[in-house]
This record gives sequence, C-alpha cells and structure tokens, in this order.
Amino acid sequence: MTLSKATIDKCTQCGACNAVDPIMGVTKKESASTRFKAVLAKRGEVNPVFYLATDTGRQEQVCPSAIDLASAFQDARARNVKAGVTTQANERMLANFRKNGTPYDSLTPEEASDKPFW
Amino acid sequence: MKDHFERFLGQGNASDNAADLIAYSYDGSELAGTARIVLFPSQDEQLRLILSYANRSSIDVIPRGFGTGNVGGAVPESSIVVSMLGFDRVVALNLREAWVHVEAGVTIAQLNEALSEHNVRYALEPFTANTTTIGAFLAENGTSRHGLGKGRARDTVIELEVMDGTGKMLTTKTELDEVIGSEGTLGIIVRAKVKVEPIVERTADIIFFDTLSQAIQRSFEIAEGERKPVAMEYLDPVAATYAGINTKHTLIVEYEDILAGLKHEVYAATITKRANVRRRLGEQGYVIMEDSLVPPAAREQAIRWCAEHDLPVVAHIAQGIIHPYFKREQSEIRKKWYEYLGTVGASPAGQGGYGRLKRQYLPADAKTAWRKAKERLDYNNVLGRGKRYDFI
Repeated sequence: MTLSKATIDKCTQCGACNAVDPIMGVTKKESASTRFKAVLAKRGEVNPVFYLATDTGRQEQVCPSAIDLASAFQDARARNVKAGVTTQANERMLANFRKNGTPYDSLTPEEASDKPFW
Repeated sequence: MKDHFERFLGQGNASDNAADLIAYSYDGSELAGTARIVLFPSQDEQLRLILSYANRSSIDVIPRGFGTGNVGGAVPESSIVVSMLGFDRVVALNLREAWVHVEAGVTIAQLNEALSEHNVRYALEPFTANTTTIGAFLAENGTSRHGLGKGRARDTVIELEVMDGTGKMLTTKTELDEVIGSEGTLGIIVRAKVKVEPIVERTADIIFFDTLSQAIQRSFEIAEGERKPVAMEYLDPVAATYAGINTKHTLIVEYEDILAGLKHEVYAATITKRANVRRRLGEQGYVIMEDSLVPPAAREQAIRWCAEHDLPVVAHIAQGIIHPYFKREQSEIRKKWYEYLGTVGASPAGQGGYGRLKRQYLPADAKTAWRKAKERLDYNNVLGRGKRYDFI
C-alpha cells in the first residue's frame, strides 16, 4: 500500500525524527536537528542548517505525521539558493564541481532526477 | 551573559546565536517561548554555577532533555535553557545488587542498549525510549506499558542526585517523592541509581471483543487474577484496524512467563504493530496523542466519550492511562476532553506531566505539597517558572 505523505505544515514538532537523526546523535544540539529544520521549513524561513545532510530517510519512517521531509527540505534549500544563503563549504564544493565536474555528469536527466533526495 | 558562562562551560557551550535561541524555544507541545541563552554543561560544578547565577539575577532556568514532552515543560519564558544531554555517562552497574548508576542525559534506549551486554534491563521502556532521557523520565514520574507490572519511575529509583534550585547538591533517598514527578521545578536531576532486572522473555495473549464493556470487564478480571500480567494494552476498533491487528476491541496482555500464546517472533511482530499505531493513526490525520489518568469506574465511559467524538483510543488500560488521538483541527474537542476528565475524577496528565499546557488542572492538594517543597528547595523560584502553577 502506498500512502500519501503529508506536507510540512502538518508537523507537530513531536521530535520523533530527532531520535534517529545522526547529526543530533553526535552534536546533541537541537539547532542541528531534523526537527529544527522542520520548524524553520514550516515557517518558510531560509537558513544554512538546511544544508546539513541529515536526510537519511529514517526520519520519515518514524514521523508520526508521515511528513515528506525530503521534499520540504529540498524546497527549503531552493529558497536558500534564491535568497543567496550559502556556506563556505558549499561554495568550495560548487567551485570544485565547476572545475572538475560531478559524479552525476554522466547520468541522464531522468537518472539524476532523484539525486536531490539523497 | 554569554562570556560569563563560557568562562566555566568552555567555548561553544553557551550560545545566544539566533539558531539556538529558536531551537530551544519550543518542545513537543507546539507552545513557543523565548530563550535568553542556551547552556550545555556536563559537570556538577558547572550546573551549580549556572544556578548560582540564576539566583543572583532572578532569571529562571529550564532544564531540558530531548524536548519531546507535549505539555510545554521545556518551553522557556525568557529563561536560561540548560541542556542536560551532556550528562551522558552510565557511571556504574552493580549486578549483585541489581542497580545502575546513570546520568540524567542518557536515554532509556541508550541505557538498555548498554545494559543488554550484561543481560539486564531497566524495566520501564516507553515506545519513545529513543528520546526519553532518564532525567526527564524521573522528573515526570513517567511510566510505560510495563508499568502495570513494574510501577512508575518512582518505584525504580534507589537514590537520586539532584541539584536543588539554590544550587545545593542533594544525594537523597528521603526527598525522592518530592522531586520525582515535580517536572524539574524543585531540582535538576543529575544522576540516579535505578533498579535493573534480568532480561526474561516476554509473551502475550491477544483477545478480541465485540463490545467495549466486555473488553473493560475482562481487563479488570485479568488484572485481578492470580497470573499477573506486566502490561495490558487496549486498542479500540479504529486503532486496531489501522494497526493491522483486527477490527474489534482488542487487549494485548503481556506476561513474563511462557504460558501465553504469542511467543518469540509472533510476540515481537504484535508489539511492533502496537508500537506503530501512532504512525498509522498519524497517516490518517490523528497526529496529536493526548494523555490522561482515569480511575477504574470511569474508564469505559471515558473511552465511549472518545468514540462519540471520533477519537481513536489506545490505552495502558489496567493502569488507567488512556491516550485518545486528535486531529489538528480538533483543538476545541481537546479542551472539552480536559474538562470532561475533571467531571469523572480523572487527570489530563497520565504519563507526561502538567507543564505549561495543563498547569491549571494540577489538583489542589498537589499544589499545596509542591508549594511547601518549593519554599525549601527553590525559594527564589528559579526552576521551571510558569510550570505546574505560578509560585509568585
């Protein structure tokens, strides 16, 4: 059975996602957590925290509200880019991509279409 | 203020940056407040200095674990927020005397993972064990479905190390009853010596009923029988259906013997289905799990009230802990639920405390006892201001 996922506005901030968040597990800081990103995403904010790669898929599995976190955070990163919110690490990575290419360059657009969700 | 705290906490362990102030302004209740500064201590002396500052400056302190409570217990009101996750050590294990000495920031899941190497466990493991720290669990006097056989958090504690609101460290057996369940408003639990028990296999019986009355009646009979269960879960037909268990009123009765019908993988699969109820109901829009403690005579009536208001119910039924599930748009019905509970002698705080959200429902006798303890342990009222009931 395929269940439709809920949008970020359904987030109740319960924090179940934080229990399986690898960065929260290491840093023990709410400001680096999936829930924090969800709270900001719900408010439509831009913030560098969206670049933290915590979208393992486990958070979605345990979310009681079945929220499509990957899409919400992808939208948030797009807002970051539009607003010019970036990090030094991102800028270095982009410079390297421009100079050396990326592992996805050989993929067709269809093959590469789900990569932003990784 | 940040410079002052960094002097003894170390760089990076006191934060007033915008991200941290937002991140520590909320908890699982969706209430929001304001954090002045967020502190990350890991030593007793650091905690003492924080409380000393709070007493001098009259700024209140909100101790916090994972911040997943749903009554606003970790929501600051222009407060100093103290994350206790830095107190993360399992200090000692004594198998002969069956206790473990553990710091407040260790989650129950982490504790049991560490204990499993020694074939023992902390008996009360809620479904939220991954985000429930020992400190928060004791502060709420929490329980789990196994509370039927094992009691509440209070029953598992041998000794408590708690820093009271004045910054005095108490190693106490005598003040357990005051501090445990006081939701961090009398002292900050730093460490505890809690009971452990050998890991024995659990089994279960699952029983289906056509009517609620039959299920409730049977729950009393089983609880009062000679063969003592350690857990008894009730699922109403809606919850049981979404759990993929059945379409009827359902009791899952767990034992620590080998006589029950569901064993090994079948038992584990059934408990997994029960654990997944929250997610399954969330997928249907029932995203808010409420909490209540209902006396025996009112249990059937309370569950019937929920059914009449389209609220699926899961309950630790023999303990009287009833969890109706609400949709977001049912906030008015939620308020009616709190009011209804008052009319049947029930409490809206079964496992998770009163916090900010439910403080007006704290019983009068509990207020009186708490106030006396507050005058002794936190006379400047720096801990958990605004929680439970306003001291000033």
